Amino acid sequence: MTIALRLLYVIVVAEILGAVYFVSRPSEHVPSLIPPVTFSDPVYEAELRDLAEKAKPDDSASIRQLAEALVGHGFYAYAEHAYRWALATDEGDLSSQFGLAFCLDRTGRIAESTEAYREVTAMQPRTESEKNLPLYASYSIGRNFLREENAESAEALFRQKISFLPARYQLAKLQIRSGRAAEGLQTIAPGLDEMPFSLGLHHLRYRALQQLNQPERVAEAARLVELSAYLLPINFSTDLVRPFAEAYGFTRELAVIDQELRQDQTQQAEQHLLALQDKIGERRIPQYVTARLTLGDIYLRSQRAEELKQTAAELTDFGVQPAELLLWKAGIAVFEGRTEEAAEFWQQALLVEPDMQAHLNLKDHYEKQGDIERAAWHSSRALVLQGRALFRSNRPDQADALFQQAVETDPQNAEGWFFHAEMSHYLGNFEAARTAYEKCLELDPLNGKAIQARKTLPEQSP
Amino acid sequence: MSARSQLILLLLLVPAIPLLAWASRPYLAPRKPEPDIFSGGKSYPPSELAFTKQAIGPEPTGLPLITNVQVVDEDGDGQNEILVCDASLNQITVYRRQGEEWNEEVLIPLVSAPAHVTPVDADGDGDLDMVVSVLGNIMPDDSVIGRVELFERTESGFERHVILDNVRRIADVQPGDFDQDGDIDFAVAEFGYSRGAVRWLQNEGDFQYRDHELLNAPGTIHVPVADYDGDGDLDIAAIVSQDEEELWAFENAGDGTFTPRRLWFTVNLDLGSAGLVSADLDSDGDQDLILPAGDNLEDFDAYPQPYHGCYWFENKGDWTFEMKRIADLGGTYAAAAGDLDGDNDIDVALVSMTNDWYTPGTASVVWLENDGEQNFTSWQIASDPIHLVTVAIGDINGDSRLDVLAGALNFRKPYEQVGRVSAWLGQQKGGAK
Repeated sequence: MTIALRLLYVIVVAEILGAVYFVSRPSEHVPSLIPPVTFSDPVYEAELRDLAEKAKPDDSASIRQLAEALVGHGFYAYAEHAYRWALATDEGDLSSQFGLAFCLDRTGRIAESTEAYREVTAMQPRTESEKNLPLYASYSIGRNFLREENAESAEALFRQKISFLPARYQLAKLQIRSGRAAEGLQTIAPGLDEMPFSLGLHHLRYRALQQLNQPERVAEAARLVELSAYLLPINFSTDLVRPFAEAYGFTRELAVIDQELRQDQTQQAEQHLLALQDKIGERRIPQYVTARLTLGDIYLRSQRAEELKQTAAELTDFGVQPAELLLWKAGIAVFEGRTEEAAEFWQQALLVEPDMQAHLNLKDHYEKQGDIERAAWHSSRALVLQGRALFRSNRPDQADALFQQAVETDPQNAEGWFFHAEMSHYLGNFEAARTAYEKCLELDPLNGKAIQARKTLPEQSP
Repeated sequence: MSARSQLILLLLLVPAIPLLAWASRPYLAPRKPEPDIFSGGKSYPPSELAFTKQAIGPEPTGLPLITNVQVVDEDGDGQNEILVCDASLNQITVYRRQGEEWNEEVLIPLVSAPAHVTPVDADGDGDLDMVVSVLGNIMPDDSVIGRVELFERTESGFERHVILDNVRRIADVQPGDFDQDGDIDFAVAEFGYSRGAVRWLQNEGDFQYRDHELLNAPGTIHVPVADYDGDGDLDIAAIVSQDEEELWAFENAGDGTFTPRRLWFTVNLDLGSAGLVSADLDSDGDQDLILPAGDNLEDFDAYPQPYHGCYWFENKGDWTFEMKRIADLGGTYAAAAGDLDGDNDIDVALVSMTNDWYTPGTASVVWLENDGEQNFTSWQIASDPIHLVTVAIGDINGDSRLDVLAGALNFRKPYEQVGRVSAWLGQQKGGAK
């Protein structure tokens, strides 16, 4: 008995000591990083709470995921702490270090963010997705210098990183804006070799030539600006945030629906839209409108007048009147055999915004009525809109064929002549361009763009 | 205690101690302190000059997208009305006061995302026509979807004339007889997105206009017209945003021939110029320029930045403008000038679009009191509604006191404190506080 008692005393004392040690160890309790706000997206809120629950102190990836979900919805000040927490767990977590720098950057703590970006540049990428982050961090430091109006440091940094095209762009911009146009042109040239249709670089070139007072080259540079595309990213904030924004909540659900529609899975998309509509309920959020506009488009294509009316009424009650509603009203009128009324709605829709389908519908309508002139008018405008879309997607030959067809269909279409001239000019057929500009100006003598373009048209085709 | 009792007690303690430790640990173990969450939102001392908030019209439904509000005597009856550009309903409306009520009527329907409406007697027939700056899309878009539409006031209503087409998004149109031929021409801000321009439209009569390009650059927001150099003709100023952040003037030779002058620029690509207002802020007889800055809508969730606020460009003559920062309101999106406290100097009202709206009390409307020496003190008028993008100063209720009017563009989080058109009525006159 005595031995048993002694043994139990020893055990109890040992347990007491163990318990004191256990209780006095710092808690693994994780401070809440769920913003104390009313969430407008309950799906996102549930997902965020779930991520917070799953975030474990010994698992930096789980904490980083929480941080990214916060960044994606603009909770930078909360994400900052999640990233700090992830870094406390794994100090080599480059993605978290970049995320931390980004949060400091976007909340206006520029000097702190520069320091945090500097740490990124000294870290080793461990995954393929981290490979470019040190370079982006350097570029972001340059942007921070610009935000602090420290042009000298920014220029030095962009010069150092000149093989990175956005840095080359920023360097050239600094040179040109500070009156060093010739230097700027030299900086741009290799960039344009690498990316010949970069709008940003062409715009800089245009400004440099303007500064150098070379009017003919300026006109040519302006044309290239018009023909170029936004290809060179110069601000990575949106690129960084977009995947995190689209990974959660209603935004993700809409992205899935969009994908289904692209793959012609209309029925599935409709079911998802209806379910999403239920989740949204009466919440005043933009997705209320987006879901209904997408559904309305499905109803219009499948000629379901009643559903279309109901959806249109809900949007009107919500206080929105997009041009789509007029197209829906026209559709309903067609389904119900009121074609004259439909034509009026299409006309109204065209007052709000140019729409190729509305022109084509009106063309068909007037053809049926035997009004060939009005049918040709609409057909010609539809062709111009189609041609403009092809021109913007860099298919000038196909675009010009449509512009030619447009002016053949309606020779009074000044816009058609203008674009035919522009395409001929671009394709190097200056004679055809001159004739088309003149035809445009006959019909629309005050068209400033045509007057200017005709003036700068070279005498002979190359 | 007997050995038996000790034995029982110890046998109980052996399992109880670990259980107790486990159960009490969440309450007793030292915790990491709650993180100190950063807030970039600001509030200011409450305005000593009294304002009474008045909702204009009924409680808004949905998420209104108001792009512009103005105080103007639209129908020439001697009483001010409120002109509103509504980009969610794609129309221009007017609020008319009837007693204590404000009744809204549609002035011009079917205009695609109107950014601004300019009331002007464009055809010289003695009434106010309306010129609408058509964005075509309120969201970023580089497409050729903008227009300038002139609505001629006739006895049977407004007749539409599209006076500029085939251009990118139009943000502002301002009138002036630039070629001094006795009719009204227009300065045009083609904001676009990746591409844009500053233009002027030369009136050739019969609602026909020839367009001239003055500057090829994206992001021009406003083009205030005034005789900035005091030579008797009208010049054009323009603020170019979208990573450019440049203030331009186009000096008129008197016949519509313009010389471009870059008055100022900053390398800070993130400044977020949001508008431009001309006013004689120092009452020295020439027109200064006021620049609200805080538009970082390129971010999904824009946040206050240390350089946001309001800048005053003092006209020093000979095309020299000296810049001074006069306010630090985060996400400042619009400014209006007027003698709010009636002490014979010009004050400024500012509104904020993007801010730390999750922090209660963050200012959405402030006024900057001018002490007569152009030292400005920021006073908070309101923190609700939020997401305000347009502000006007004028006497809306006919009591000879200046009021502040603002419109909300609700397309960013949080979708709370939703407003449409709101007014803060001035309560005192003559500088009394």
